[in-house]
Amino acid sequence: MSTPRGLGLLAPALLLVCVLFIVPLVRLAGLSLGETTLSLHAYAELFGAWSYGGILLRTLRISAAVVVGCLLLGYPIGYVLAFSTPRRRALLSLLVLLPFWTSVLVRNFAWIYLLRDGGVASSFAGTLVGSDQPVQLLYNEIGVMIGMINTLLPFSVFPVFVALAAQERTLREAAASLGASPARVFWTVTLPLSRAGIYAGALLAFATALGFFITPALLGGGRVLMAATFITQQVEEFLNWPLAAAASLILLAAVMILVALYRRIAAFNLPGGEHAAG
Amino acid sequence: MPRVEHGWVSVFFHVIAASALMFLLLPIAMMFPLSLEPGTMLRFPPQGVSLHWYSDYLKDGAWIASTILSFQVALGAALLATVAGTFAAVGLAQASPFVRNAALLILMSPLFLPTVVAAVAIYGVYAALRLVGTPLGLVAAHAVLTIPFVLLNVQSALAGAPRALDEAAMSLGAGPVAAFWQIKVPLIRRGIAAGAIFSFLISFDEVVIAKFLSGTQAVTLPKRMLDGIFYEMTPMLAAISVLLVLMNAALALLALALVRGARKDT
Repeated sequence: MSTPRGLGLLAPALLLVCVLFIVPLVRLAGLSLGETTLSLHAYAELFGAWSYGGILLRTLRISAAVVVGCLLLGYPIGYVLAFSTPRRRALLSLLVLLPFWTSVLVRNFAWIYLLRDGGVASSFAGTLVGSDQPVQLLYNEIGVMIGMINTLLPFSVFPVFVALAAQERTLREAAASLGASPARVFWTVTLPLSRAGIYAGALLAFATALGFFITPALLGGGRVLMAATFITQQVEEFLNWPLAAAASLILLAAVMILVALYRRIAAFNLPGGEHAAG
Repeated sequence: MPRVEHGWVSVFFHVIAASALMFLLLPIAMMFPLSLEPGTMLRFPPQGVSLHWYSDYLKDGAWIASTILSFQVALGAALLATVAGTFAAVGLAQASPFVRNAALLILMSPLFLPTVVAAVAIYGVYAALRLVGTPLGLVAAHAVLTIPFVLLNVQSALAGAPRALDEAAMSLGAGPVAAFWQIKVPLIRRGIAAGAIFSFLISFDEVVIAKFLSGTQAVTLPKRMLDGIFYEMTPMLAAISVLLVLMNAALALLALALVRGARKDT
């Protein structure tokens, strides 16, 4: 055999992905090293300017807050899924999956309406913090976080569900038979044993959050500049390809590291866990 | 019966989960009343009940042109991704571990890497090749983006399908091509169909790549909606949203049923 088995069948897909994805990325990497002469100028500019550092910090801060929000809301959903009858589990996972398959524009449009000044949400938030003034929830980081948590929530639900569903019930029964209260069984057995699901869900949500573009643009109203917004601006407004390319490569590297970490966790502890990404 | 295993923790989690599901579903449900507004302002509750924003949408040439373009692009991308992805999934099953791992890494990369980076990278190449603003350019870019979904679905269908049947057919005298089309493909047809539907859905809703590659000539429905949300929030956007929600829900349910059916076949 002159060619490895299966390569002929793989060729069309590999050709498509290489020509339209890998080659453009390599070209982008080249651009980040200067358009005419080889230099690290773009990277120096990116790390040298305070304003760019602010964008990086904001991207990390918002993404981290979004991950915390996703886990606080997603863990309970994963928990309920794992401890449901198969029938109820099927229904509940549909309720999580249908929003996942709804256009991100539809959800952002809804949030702009729901969070606007003088809307129900902003008055309610005002009451919550004890002020008679409505709290501004739109066109700032809070609005962006709400929209991003709404989109990324399913990413944290399914890894948690898989980790909880894979647990042996005998472990919980053993703890209970040794006198642990039901709540203590959770805190000392169930929760620690679902760590892999928590880490996997967090990594997946964080890696995706770093590259978010539409939600920060719409719910941030141009006032919440994140990494993806910055890249777009450099390309469309300033035509500064080297800077856009350098920022893209750093974003890419960060996401690749997170995905590699996720795959290590998923491979060992979450059989089929990566399907949550689909 | 679901057993309460963790006392008050379990009760507490059920309450949070119910609120979280409301948080997921409420914004989508809001679109239905908002779309019925007779006036020009978004209002809740609506001032009356009218379907005129739906008929305005259907009569608006620019919106309909974008809708038709989105259907064409999504159908083209789904077709391309399904054919290439199905061949690739079958090829992966035959390949040596080294080839399989390398090919998987390449083919799955569009799923994991930030879309905005892909969009900028492809835009750079398309601008040089004058492919910005062409439907064909959008089809190709979207196909690449959705190949991982076809791959995942066909791979899991293959994992469940009886392996030796196509080899048995070949030992009985069928050529490899006949064995592929007459034995293999029918065995994994549900996985292929599910992959094609997911691929269509992703392309139809895709907005980041479309924002860069649409130009002024090939404005897809999501690109036009994005501009609409930026510049003019009208109840027509709510009406279009309702139609999108219904179409996506129907297609996603169909694809999920196919995935479940493919699993039952095994």
